[in-house]
Amino acid sequence: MSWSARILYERPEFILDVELESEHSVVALIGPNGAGKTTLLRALLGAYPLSVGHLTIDGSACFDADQGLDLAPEERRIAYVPQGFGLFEHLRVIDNVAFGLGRSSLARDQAQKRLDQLGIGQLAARYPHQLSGGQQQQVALARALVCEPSLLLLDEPFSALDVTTKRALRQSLPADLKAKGLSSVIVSHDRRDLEPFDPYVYAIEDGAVVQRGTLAQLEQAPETAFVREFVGL
Amino acid sequence: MRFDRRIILFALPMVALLALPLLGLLGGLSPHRMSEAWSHPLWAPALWLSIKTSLISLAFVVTLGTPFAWWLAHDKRSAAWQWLVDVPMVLPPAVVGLALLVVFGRQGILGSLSGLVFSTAAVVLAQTIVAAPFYISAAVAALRAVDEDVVLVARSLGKSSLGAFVSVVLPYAWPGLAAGMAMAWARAVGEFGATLFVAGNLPGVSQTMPLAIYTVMESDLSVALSLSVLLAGLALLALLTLRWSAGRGRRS
Repeated sequence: MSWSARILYERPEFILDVELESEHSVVALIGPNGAGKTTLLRALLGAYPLSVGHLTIDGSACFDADQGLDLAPEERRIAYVPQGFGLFEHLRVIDNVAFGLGRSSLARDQAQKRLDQLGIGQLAARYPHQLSGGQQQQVALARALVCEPSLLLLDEPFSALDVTTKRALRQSLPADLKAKGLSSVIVSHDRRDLEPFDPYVYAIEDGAVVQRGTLAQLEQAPETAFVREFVGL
Repeated sequence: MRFDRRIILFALPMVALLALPLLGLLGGLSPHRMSEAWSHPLWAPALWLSIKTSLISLAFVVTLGTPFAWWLAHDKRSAAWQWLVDVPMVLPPAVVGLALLVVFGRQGILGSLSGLVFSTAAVVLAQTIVAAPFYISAAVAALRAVDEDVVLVARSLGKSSLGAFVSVVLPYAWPGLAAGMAMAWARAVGEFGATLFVAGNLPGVSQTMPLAIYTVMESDLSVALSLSVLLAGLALLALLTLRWSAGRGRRS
């Protein structure tokens, strides 16, 4: 699994210009608030029209400005779990999970099966606001993975969780992703959230990559004040 | 924050002012007058015309106004067109009516459509133009409030932009859209000035309830009052229905 991207997104008061390339299954994006991490995730999804850059996942291009190729978000096979999980509040858990599979009863069966596998089959008829933070995250992940994406984007996956749930999911999520062999991009503010993933880290500040490497490499030679603080020095 | 109850003293005059027309309507009501109004030849055609034209207008407002609202909500380049929504809101309806008459009259820019004036279609046209800004303003706010990420999730799960709009944006925005529809419909039902100028006051053709009330008032105030109560009751019922529906949307 490999992917690479160059994203140039310009707004009057902000320019995001980054190049990402990874053989690692998990890429982490770190950086202060407003650095452009979430904007980068959205750009990878195809939320913005871009005139420069490319995105190639496992050898197939989703976006290539030079070639005039720009797949719509629904054609990119990139799954997204935004901050706060982005569950559809008006749909039951089962319909959230079945959302990407279509409206057939077969889709609901498949969604139910996935929920059963996760041990949360009994939540199928509930609405998202009736779930705990941990359950919401599980449902959001199930929904994202049910369409078998080639790349998974997670924005602050642990930030809305209580301490106990956070600890449990720090263990299980990296194992789940590894088992699926799925490439993912994780935005996080907390080093402890990232450690279990053993990620390749891009530190982004003011829309540009200021340092890249494994957590150990960053720790050895942090190049900015933010990275130094992030690795706990 | 602690609430200073003295503010109620200053609020009371406004409460009294707002309650005044309602008191007037209910105070002037009696069973005898109601039955008198019931047998008046004007009310049934006028009520039917009001219901028919206001619902058709609302359909136009929603189907044509929603895409415009979506554009205004999400494309900065559309800001230049915002004034088109604001102007009819501040223009006196009579001015709108006169302007429409100039456009569609025999000598007008669209004079070839002069058959339109003094017709039921003209009533719908006037109501649509006068009511649309109320819906569009509410819809812009409601659509802007829909979380961009939720829409993006729907897209990433295979929905086209139209599919995501129908399956996610509309349910999320529904309480705001319903409130806008209630405002626009109430405005359409109450339309008087623009209708009078461009559609006239022809029974069965362009004489909606407000015009019928105005017409009857010249001969019989008590019948006019009964018709007013009927119209107010109808508007209140529609408002409550939409509020209820919006509340359900918000809860789910």
